[in-house]
Amino acid sequence: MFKFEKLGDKMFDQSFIEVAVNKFAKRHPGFKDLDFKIESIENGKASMRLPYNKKFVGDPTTGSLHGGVITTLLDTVCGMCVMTTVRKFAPIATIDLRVDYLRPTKPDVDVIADVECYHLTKSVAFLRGYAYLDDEEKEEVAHVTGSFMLNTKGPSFAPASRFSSLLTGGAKNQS
Amino acid sequence: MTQFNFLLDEDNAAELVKSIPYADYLGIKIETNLNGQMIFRMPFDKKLIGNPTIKAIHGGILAGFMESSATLAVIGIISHDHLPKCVNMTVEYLRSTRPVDTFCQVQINNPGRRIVHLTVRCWQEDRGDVSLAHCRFLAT
Repeated sequence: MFKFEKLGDKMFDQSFIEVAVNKFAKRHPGFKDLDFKIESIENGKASMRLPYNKKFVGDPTTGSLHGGVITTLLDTVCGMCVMTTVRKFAPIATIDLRVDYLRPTKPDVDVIADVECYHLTKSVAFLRGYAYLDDEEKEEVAHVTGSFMLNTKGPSFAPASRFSSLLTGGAKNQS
Repeated sequence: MTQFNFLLDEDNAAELVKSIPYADYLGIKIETNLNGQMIFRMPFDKKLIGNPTIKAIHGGILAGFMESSATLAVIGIISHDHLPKCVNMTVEYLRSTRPVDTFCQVQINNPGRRIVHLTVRCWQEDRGDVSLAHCRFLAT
């Protein structure tokens, strides 16, 4: 597990982030249910805990958590990790996320996710990490690799390029 | 693309969604489109929001929705007494989401004996695809 190390930037240390995130999470209806807790924060690294909750069970026969909630945890930690790397609450967007499920989780055991940013360019951050069970064996549950776009400015309303209809065949979704 | 027939009818499917707590938490509904294909709907709810400033749905929740739908689709083609296991999944986020209902459709690319390959297409309103997911499931 990552150990906490004080960041050089005073404005962006763990206590500041915890206060900011807790304030955010209190007002946020989704995170109130998920109840993510920050374990540790370091420059370019982040760790979060998902407390076991019966609401998020994927297989009622074994009591293991659903893969989707593990993905939600990993996506959130990855986003958090990008912010610890660029050291500001910048708007970011997930480009892609790959999750490998290694084994099912155990009932009544929390899941902790550790993620690091292994490369950062001007516009893209590359991350990798894993989620593990918080018991004695600390068995790995899932591995993640993801890439995030930096400096996004909310939703884009740019007019579609004149080539875009050619590329997509001008097809619209039929629902 | 392989056409697949659901072993489930809609009432059956609603019961199945209820039996998976996470799918029930997301409020997934199984519907049929005009062509008779099975589509999945996730009604918008405040708890699904990831970015409160633009009220976009959380990327992880979207991935969870696509994985649940894929699981339900795999249950539809193979009958087992246990739930199919997801081996891995890759999600591509194509555009930001809006605070409206999200739909997805599962395409089974190769219903193999041991591994099932699927592509899940996810959209909102009349715009193009919001995200795509490629998943592998254990069929045994």
